[in-house]
Amino acid sequence: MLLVGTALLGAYFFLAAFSQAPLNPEKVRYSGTVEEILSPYLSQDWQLFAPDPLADDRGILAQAFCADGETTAFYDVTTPYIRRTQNDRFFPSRMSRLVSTGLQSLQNTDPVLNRLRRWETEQKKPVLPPLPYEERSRDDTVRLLSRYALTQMPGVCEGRPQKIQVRVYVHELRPWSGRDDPAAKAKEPVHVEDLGWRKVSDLR
Amino acid sequence: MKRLWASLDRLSVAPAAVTGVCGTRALLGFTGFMFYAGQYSDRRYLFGPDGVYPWRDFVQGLHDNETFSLLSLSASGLWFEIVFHMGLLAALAVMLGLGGRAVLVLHWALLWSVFQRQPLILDGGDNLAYLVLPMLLLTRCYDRFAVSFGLVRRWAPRVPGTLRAVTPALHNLGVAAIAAQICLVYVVSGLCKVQGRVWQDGTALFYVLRIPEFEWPGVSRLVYENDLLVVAGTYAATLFMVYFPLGVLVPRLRSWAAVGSIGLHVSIALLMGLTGFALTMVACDLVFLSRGLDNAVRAARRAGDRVRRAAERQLPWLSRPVGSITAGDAADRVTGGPDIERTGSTSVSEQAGRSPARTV
Repeated sequence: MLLVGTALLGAYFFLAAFSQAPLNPEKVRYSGTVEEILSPYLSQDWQLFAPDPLADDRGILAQAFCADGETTAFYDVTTPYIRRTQNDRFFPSRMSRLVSTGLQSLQNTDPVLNRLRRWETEQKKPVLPPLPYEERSRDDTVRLLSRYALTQMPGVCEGRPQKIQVRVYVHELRPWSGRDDPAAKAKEPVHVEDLGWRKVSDLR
Repeated sequence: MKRLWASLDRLSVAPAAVTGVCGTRALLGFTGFMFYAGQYSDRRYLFGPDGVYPWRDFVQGLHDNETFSLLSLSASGLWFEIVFHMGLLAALAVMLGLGGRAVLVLHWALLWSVFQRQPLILDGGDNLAYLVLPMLLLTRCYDRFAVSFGLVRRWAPRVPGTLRAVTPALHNLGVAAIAAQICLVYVVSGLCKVQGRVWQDGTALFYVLRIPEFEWPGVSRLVYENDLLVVAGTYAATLFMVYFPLGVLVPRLRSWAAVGSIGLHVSIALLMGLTGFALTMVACDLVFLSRGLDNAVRAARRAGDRVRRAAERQLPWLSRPVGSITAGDAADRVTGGPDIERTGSTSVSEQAGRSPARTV
């Protein structure tokens, strides 16, 4: 009994460890099979802030297009929940993760494709365009972020907005080398990307 | 070879780390309960049928992943409330040790259902919880820190002899699985960190602690503005994770490795606000601290006895046995232990009569 159990346990941990290994030729070949066995009940991810942790302040703003043809200013729909998390140290609400994880999944893609595109960029070759499943996944995330933004602006356009647009911002915090340089704080760049307008009727 | 068979024999008959694994169960129950409690005011928005994650995408996701969620059985608000509150109560029952393995299975199924409804808010702690809860089913995780109504003692004779005979072996397998799982978490995380540039540079804490979502205003700054703390903390965390399995393999270092891990995760809980993740890791570390937990329980019991005796000297009426319970009984209700099975139904006055000096 103990031997059989140990063998099963060994097989599980072998597959689990394999699924967590860095990209290598064997992983490229067998990762699909291993994922099929582990997913969904035994799937796992233990990178935990590694290898490259987030190093910037990211969030979203949102604006609405009203029935009278006016476009509102951008509203900050990220900071209120960040403040709430900061003020509650013991099991804080996870509302802020809707935005942070949503933004991460906008950029997540297959590690092999990631490496290929990086190589193409370095070699100054045409970069592989997003594959259909990547486009679908991005579209789902944009829809989710837009729906979230819509719910965070209940009074906008007197409660009857026609369309919503999300703006992603990435505020680069000064690097370690500039930690003692007051001028570096003033020079922290902010990058923005406007996602496509979404009809409110499609979001509800 | 003889030694190997002797070890296998021992593992087949003597359950290891019982107190530790009971602590794991209780703490995972608490963490689960706090997951529900922490999201309580936002529950409809996060998990409800009209929540932020569209119902259509939720159902499609279940289909794509070939999995289930009890929430998908009905799109009614009432059903959602029933499932959510059942999850809350099941987690509480697991924490208190009520209902045994059946409730542990129910807790896992409800937690999984809620996780599937809103995958965006999950973290490594949730991932570890849904892996470790089924492993706990193999173990004797209800022997300690559990409220007992004597049902186990009453039903124990009905359990088939074969199953009773393999119980220690299954328990030890479960404990080994939890231990191996936590080692895998540490090694993978540690080795991934070793490959990262800012972890190599010793500056990762500087970057992570400034992210607004993980920042503790007024406190994080004290750490990330101190160069020595940043470098020492970054390297210590990485080295600790990589070498954790070696630490627990050496019996003399085992407790220290577990205490170090608990220290690391308490820091993460406080500094980064990742309480659920940190406590789930601590819960799994407890399998390495079984002896320490036993000692702590004994010390607490002795301290309680001393306090009680002192109180009795000052207030003699406290020692009257009528309508009271014995000190030993009270302690066993908290710690579990073999006594609870032997004397659980003994009347209060009988126990008081047998040991009047220990009455409260």
